[in-house]
Amino acid sequence: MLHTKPEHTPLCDLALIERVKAGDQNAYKALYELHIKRVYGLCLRLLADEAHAEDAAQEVFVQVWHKIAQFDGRSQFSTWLYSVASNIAISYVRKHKSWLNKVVSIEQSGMDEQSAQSCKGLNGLDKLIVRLPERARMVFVLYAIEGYRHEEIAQQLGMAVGSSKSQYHRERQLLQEWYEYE
Amino acid sequence: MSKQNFDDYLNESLNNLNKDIAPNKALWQGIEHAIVTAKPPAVKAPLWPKLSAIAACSAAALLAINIFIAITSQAKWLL
Repeated sequence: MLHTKPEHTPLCDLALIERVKAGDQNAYKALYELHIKRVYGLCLRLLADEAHAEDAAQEVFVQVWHKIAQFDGRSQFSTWLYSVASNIAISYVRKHKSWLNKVVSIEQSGMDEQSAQSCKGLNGLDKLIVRLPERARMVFVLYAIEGYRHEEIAQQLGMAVGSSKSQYHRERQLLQEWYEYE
Repeated sequence: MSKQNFDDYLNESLNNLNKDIAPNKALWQGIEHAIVTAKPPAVKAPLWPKLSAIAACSAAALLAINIFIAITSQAKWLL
């Protein structure tokens, strides 16, 4: 039997959103089914921990339910949703993880083996990304994978634009070293 | 490995990266519980229908007053 992925279009999102705005939970579940993998993937790469990523992804969909009236349709729903997701994942780090993680430099921390252990399902480049130090990993994920500009990343993470750029270049070098080592 | 080779590897990996990752456990139940116990999403009602209704009522009232004044003044003049 051939299993095909249901076709997902922005129009499909808009029809569901109208129903969600009227309080239709079945429509919200359909919206969840369409986007959960992408949201969870983003949270997992940003948080490098499966349990935390699950918590954050749940938080995203609870908050989006409450904020759905704020979505005015000027951008695509997916763009809006992933922006909410990245903000929640970043706040999750601020709330739940030690402040010390954020200030430890790349040289001091090196490979984050704990994160690598808690994301056993990942492979290839992802396996290396989750080993990056927390803050630097966020810069790398937002810039290289999610396509944010350094100005946007700096604003989201509360850092200087120059720091975002320099961290990204250092991460690339670090990834190269690890790749050669492996 | 040269820098060029690594850049190629990184670019290829990023291009082929699957952004979708399925969570290991079902998350919907927790979300459903949280949203069922909460109020439904607040939908902002647009303001313009209310303003239009107020304007229409005001116009109708002014018209009615004008007609009433016109009729009464005409009646006085006839008397």
